[in-house]
Amino acid sequence: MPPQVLAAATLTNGLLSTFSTAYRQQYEGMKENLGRVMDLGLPSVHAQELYAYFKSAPYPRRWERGSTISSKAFASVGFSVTNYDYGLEIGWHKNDREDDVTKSLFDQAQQGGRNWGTLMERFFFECVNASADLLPAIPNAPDGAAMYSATDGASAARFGVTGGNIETGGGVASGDAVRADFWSSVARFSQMQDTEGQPLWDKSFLDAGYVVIYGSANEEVFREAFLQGRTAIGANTATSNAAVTNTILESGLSINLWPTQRITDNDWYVFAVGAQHKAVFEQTRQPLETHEQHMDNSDVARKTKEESVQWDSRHGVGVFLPYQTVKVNN
Amino acid sequence: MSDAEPNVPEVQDGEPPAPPAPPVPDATEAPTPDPAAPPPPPPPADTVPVPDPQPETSIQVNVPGLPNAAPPTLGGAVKVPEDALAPPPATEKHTYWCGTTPDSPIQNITAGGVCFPRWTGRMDMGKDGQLESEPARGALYQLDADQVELVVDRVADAFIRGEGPMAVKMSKTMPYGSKVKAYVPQANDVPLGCFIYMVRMEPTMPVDWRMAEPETMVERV
Repeated sequence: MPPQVLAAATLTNGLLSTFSTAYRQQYEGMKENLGRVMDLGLPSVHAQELYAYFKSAPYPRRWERGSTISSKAFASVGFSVTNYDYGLEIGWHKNDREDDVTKSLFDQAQQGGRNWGTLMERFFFECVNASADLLPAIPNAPDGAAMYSATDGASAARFGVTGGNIETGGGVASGDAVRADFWSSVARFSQMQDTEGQPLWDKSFLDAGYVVIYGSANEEVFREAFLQGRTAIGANTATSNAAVTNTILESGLSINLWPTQRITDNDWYVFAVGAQHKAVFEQTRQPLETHEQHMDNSDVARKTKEESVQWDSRHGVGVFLPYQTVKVNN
Repeated sequence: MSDAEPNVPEVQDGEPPAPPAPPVPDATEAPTPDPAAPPPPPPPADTVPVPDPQPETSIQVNVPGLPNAAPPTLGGAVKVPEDALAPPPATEKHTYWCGTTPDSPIQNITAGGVCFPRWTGRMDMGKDGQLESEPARGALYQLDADQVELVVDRVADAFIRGEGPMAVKMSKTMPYGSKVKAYVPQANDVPLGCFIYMVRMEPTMPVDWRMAEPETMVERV
């Protein structure tokens, strides 16, 4: 019986399938966390998308008898987000694929899929950390200021509150300090104003829950701050050994802790999940595509026996008004 | 006598009922009258009660838009002592130009609650990743002396480790994960102040001050 003839495409299909499975698993897992703090997959049909939003609607006013009714136009703000290409190629020699008894090629494809699944998360943390790598530069928010700033682009108190969305923190040496800063952040949300000078958020927003993102090296103190039921009282009185309840735990607020090694200092971040729009968003111009090169379809592969699989997509990343997040700066 | 009628004076058999006690506005202003005492005699018809003089602590404040002449008062108004109105010394603020240098590995840096951005304004990016709009360099803040001092303290404590996208901002006195780690210097640690500037604006700044190269908070060697 003659040996079975395998098309090279059949072999690469296995790699693609391995990649896709790993990618989907990684992306779905990432999306569960990231979807709370970042808008994903906004549609895009141009090289550069123009966005605009209206400022706050005016509020009703008393209408004096005999006078004209109060009237005010909606002011608007525009900004743009440009799409960029992102790509990855995995190559190998045809002989290596045929001799790959350890299936390391498939492992590499799997790893590539997982890595691709982290793309959105890396976009997000580049904006949070203001350190550009995937992005050519970290975009400012539409108000002209950086994502985290005490003032807006016009040097006015951002969102009508002194300090804007930066809270000067008390350090991360104790759970008490972290809790105090958390409550200060919640208070900061409640003090924000819209462009008409009215409260920006109502109670339903403040009670909807929060995502707290911090560096993974501070895991212990954050778990103590948010999850420890009884916390030690300050050791300066006769009741020094007493324990008090955890105000955050007993408040009933939904808190989602997200430790990550993508944050490498003691700054940490509070994101309110009740906001309609997230602080960071991603637009997809072209979803993930796969292309394979082997001896059946590639002159290069035929001449060199170098086969490869490549993936590419086009995305743009923007920062919207970051009124749903506060940075605790330590 | 029941507890439900605490204000009804007790009446002895055979005696006329005592007149009701006049209302007492404040125990500190008048002694408690004896309910059995006869009412005070009415003043002579040709005399007029003289109101108490104004307390010495009363002050007058001219309110814009209102006539300065005080309207007739009834007296007895409680006034805020003048001492209590003495305002605390006003916090003096100055304008500072803050930002990061073009070679800072971190585009926007926060220290002491102040953001040091690379740019302020709309950032339109071209297809090649270059800026197409012209945002202003840095940002302008109104800061008081305490805020500036906090920034200086935090910047003195912080350094940048690593280069490019791998660079991170770290603290010497409050190392990252301070419960388990202590600061261990490395050769490539660069003071944070080498990458940020904070310039106090003066009335005599040159016209093109924002195009000038500001001095960084820590001089580079």
